[in-house]
Amino acid sequence: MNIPTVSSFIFYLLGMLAIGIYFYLRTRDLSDYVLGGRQLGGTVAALSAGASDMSGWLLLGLPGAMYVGGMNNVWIGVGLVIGAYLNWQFVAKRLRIYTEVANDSITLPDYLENRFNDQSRVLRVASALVILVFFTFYTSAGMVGGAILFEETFGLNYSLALWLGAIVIVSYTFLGGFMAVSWTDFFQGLLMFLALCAVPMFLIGKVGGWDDAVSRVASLNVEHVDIFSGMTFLGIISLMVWGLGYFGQPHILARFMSVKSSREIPKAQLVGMSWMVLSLFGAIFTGFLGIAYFADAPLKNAETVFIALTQVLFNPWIAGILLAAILAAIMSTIDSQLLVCSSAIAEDFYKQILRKNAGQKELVWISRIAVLVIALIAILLASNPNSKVLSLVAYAWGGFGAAFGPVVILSLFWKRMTRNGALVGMILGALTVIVWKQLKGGVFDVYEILPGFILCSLGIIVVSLLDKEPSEEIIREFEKV
Amino acid sequence: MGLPFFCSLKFFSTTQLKGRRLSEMEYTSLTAATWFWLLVPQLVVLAISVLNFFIERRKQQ
Repeated sequence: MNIPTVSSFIFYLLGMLAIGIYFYLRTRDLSDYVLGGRQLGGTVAALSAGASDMSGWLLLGLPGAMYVGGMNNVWIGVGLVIGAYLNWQFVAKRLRIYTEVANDSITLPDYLENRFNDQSRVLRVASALVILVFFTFYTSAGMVGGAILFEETFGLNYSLALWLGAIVIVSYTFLGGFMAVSWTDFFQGLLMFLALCAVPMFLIGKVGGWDDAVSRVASLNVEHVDIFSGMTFLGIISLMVWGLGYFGQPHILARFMSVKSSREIPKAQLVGMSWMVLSLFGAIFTGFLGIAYFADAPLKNAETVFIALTQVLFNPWIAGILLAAILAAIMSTIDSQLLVCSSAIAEDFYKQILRKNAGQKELVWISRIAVLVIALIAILLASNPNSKVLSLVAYAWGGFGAAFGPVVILSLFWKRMTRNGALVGMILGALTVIVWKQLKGGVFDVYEILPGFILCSLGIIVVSLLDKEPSEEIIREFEKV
Repeated sequence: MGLPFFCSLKFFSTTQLKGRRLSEMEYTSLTAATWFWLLVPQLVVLAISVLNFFIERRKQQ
């Protein structure tokens, strides 16, 4: 075991725990625990949204794909940047205001119920169930990634690695709730940014400068410098529509809802978009320059290109810090998803359905217990990394995007939208994603989020127009926003 | 390649180029198209965010 790397990891993990303890002492009610009492600054909200969104894909998946296939992998990044921008520009501010006006809603299901004044609880229960099921699998898949990293870096046994990573994440999420998760995500985002700037900057000198690197990559395979290589029009669209997923991701929308004032949103947008664009460039260039660097001795596992480069470019202490960035990327996603699940249990089921008179202290502890229970289920699922059930995570990004995205957008901007429209749209979006994914060939190769998003929007519009008009109270609230 | 000519900013496909040395014009066109699509959308988004930030700040003052 490498002492500098282990020391960096331990130092990093202790830092995360310290943040958890700090916010444990400041948590008073459920709103504090699941939404930080809407006191999050713009910069922290921006970086925590970015870090919790990207996960290990940014440091392992994208550089790995660039290393194998070259520039044609850039399209997904372009789509994500445009999607994230539109989300900040059009959804963030209005959602922040609307969730406060709509009976101070603190979760996405809570907002949907209050927005449509839904007394039947159908919207709340359906959306909370979708969140619980998919985020449990999502969390579990993240834990598998973290455990494999521990296993490969320290040579630990898989089960021990899984429990070790899970204990740290659960500890600070359990203790400090949303503020701990947001602040740890903020530092994790900074660490990821630092790592993704440092690696390509040092690497470019090692490969003899930019022009030499591009010529070298082109001489190995000219397709690697061609952004259109092997792409069709549908292929490009399919990659770019990943950006549509942003409008329906509960853990990202929670960051918008938690910002202390809608006036903070433009600053948060600027910070968030700068972080995202520069981090994506870092990941893209890490993989691309990696092709030139490892030209004579190619890597067996492409996804380890970032890890391999940190180990050859930096001294072990710096490499340890940069490797901790991978763990940061994985942890920042898991903690946010755990917290969204916990809020669905405490706010959407326990408080609203089981015990309406529950006190704030009781609700905070229910949330904490929910974090433990969901984490335990996720660990059990992750204990078999080859389990087929984990493949369900493939539905999560598209499923959330198609089921919730149009519902969130139209609920914010279309006052004629009704509860039945929202419900039908949600079901149509989710079903389309599931069915489309089973079909192959031709138009069915398009990423399922696109047909899901379109059908969900159509479902909402048609059913809302056929439905009776929303009540005056709902219209008044909409106009107030 | 399904993209329209004006949209692709590229005059040929790499399958035509495979296995032979590129002319300077071919190489320049290929890399120009790649860098254009890599950089322009992301930098435009960044520029709009900067602009939006200053406009909103002025409104708030």
